[in-house]
Amino acid sequence: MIRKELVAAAAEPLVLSLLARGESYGYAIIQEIKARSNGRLQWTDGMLYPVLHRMEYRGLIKSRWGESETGRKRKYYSLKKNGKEAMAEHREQWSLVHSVLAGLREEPHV
Amino acid sequence: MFDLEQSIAQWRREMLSGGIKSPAVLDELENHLREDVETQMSSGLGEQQAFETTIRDLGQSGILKNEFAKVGGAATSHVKHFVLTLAGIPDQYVANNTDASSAGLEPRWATYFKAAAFIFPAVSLWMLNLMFVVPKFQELCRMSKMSLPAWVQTGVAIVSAVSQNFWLLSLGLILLLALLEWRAGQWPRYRRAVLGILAIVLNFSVLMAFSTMGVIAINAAFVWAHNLGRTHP
Repeated sequence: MIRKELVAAAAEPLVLSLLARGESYGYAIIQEIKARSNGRLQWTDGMLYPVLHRMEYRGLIKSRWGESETGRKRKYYSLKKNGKEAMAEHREQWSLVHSVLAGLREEPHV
Repeated sequence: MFDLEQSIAQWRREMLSGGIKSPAVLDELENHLREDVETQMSSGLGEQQAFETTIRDLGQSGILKNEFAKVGGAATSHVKHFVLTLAGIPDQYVANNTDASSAGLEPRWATYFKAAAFIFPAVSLWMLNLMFVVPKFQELCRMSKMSLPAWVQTGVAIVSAVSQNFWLLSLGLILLLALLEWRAGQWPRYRRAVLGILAIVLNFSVLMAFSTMGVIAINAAFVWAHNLGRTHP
């Protein structure tokens, strides 16, 4: 299991990247992240909702109430322009961390 | 016998008494709960077991409430949001720049250019006003012999002091900014907010000065007309 601090830090970039592929809703977002990480990346389910609300409050994403295939009320989220910019920034920062880590691993020890 | 509907209603009541008051939030969480129960049941769990697993995964109302409280409901964050929006800074920008590095900040020239563009109309309008409108205004006040309230007199004194020393004050401000750019390491983080707020305050002051002058001029004109009527029946 991945440590909870890392999971928390990854929540925003993951949600943004997922919504960049099209609108989605809380439950589907959680399931998709679980599936893509083979269940290793997961947060307490309820915790995603405050994250989504915070991102909406900050103008990164927007929401609308729609209906599921079975006619149930469902809240869909989609990306806003600010969200796209924030996603690009997140990606840049994560790939920087990644490249530093990879560089350190590949360099021979002195 | 386990009743899913009753259990969900009970869970909603518990969430409500735990502090999650918004019906929209409860609807969203309930929606999650129902979908998860269905998924768990389709993978073989019984209704009760599926429900219990789901509410455990959703988390306790107290913890959730605390997380929702961070969304931006606090009064201070509203004030901060309001002020920064006025200064032309979106929230997303602030949140992504909580570190002290200046990476990703707006370029320096852009901030100064924007601030200058925003204060230009107000300052030039005020200059024209000083040249053409203020002398007439003073004459009108003199002719009407109307006594101005103390706060207006103070305001007039401040405005005329600022106007008389306009170039000196501008030079002082430019020197101060130059000093901040040169010496203050933290300045780039606050540059945009400070200049944005300065531009707002300046625009607002000019607007207020114009409105006050307008109201006083109308009053003075009435007093003058009234006096005229008395002296020439």
